[in-house]
Amino acid sequence: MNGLTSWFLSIGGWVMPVLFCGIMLYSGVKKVDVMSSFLEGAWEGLQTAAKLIPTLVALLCAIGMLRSSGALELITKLLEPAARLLGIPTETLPLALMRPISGSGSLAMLREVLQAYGPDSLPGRAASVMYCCGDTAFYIIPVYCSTIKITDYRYALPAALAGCFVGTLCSVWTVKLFF
Amino acid sequence: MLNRIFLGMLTVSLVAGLILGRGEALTESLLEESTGAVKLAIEMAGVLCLWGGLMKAAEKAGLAAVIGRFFSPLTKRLFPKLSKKELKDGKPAEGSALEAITLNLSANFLGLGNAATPLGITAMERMAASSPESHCATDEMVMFLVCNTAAVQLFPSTLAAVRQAAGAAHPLDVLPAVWASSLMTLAASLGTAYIMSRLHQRKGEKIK
Repeated sequence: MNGLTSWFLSIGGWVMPVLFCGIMLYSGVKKVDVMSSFLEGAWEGLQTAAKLIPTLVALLCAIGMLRSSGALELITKLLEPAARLLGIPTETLPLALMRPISGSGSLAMLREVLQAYGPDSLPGRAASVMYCCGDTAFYIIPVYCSTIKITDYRYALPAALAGCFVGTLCSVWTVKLFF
Repeated sequence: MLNRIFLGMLTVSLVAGLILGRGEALTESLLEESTGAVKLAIEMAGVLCLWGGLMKAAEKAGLAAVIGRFFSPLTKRLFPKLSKKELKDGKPAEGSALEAITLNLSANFLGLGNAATPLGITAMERMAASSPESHCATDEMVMFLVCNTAAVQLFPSTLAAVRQAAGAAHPLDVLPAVWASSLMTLAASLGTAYIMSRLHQRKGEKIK
């Protein structure tokens, strides 16, 4: 383990407690009734959570079936020639497809790639960068829209997926460029 | 739209499941995920309470407005209509959508994924308050959603931990590549969203 990484990881671990206590103490100094504002906001949060349950059940079932059906493996096979053409290592293709669908799924796939090809290989590095490029559009968009009952996302998904595609290409290119 | 996405996912998984003969796996994931969704909602309830409460305190103390002012050059460009309505003396008004948006974007940037979700939902709720009966996302809602799906993270701590566990010589040597590529992801998403919003506008004018 090298020093920079451990320093970095410990910073990551401090962000949340420092923010939480810092904001609370600052509000206290500003003579805000911290406790009652917290309770007011927390109550609103609890109501939001209850409203989320039906969406989460439908969405996670669909995502879960998509993952366990092997659809991604089939699509990976179909896309392999195109990926080769674009210079994307085919080992990272399942991760690139999973990235907009499931966070836990793409983390599992990143681990698999790192284990199979090594973290310092081209596919390993490219997969690491891909994991950080773009978030789960198929989850975030429906969840953010669910409590306000918006069902027409208009062009949100195409725009998010376009970003994902560019992110995948850039992951490979930057890794090739920097290493 | 959600309807079509949902049905599309079901069709794809059923067809793939039939081809690969994965009936049992599908059954299992249906049962597991439906209970898992409620578990997730309960876990999220805790986080939603925590960050909802924290946000209320930060707003009352005027801290959210300070952060909002800091980000206002950026939010003015991304959310011009909201900014015109909600920015007073360069600061977002207390309890405004813009305030929740800036808090959500800063949480994303700091890598606090579980804080970003509740703040994002609040931001969407406040944006919807001005047009409560509409089932259609506004341009600014789409812009905000896209900022979230292309979240740029300063400290990708999960990645660092996973790479370290896998035995990378220098787990963080990919950091410049991560920053460059995720900025490109954001730029591409925002660019596409902008172009598509212009196209939609033109279509709307023709109909009128």
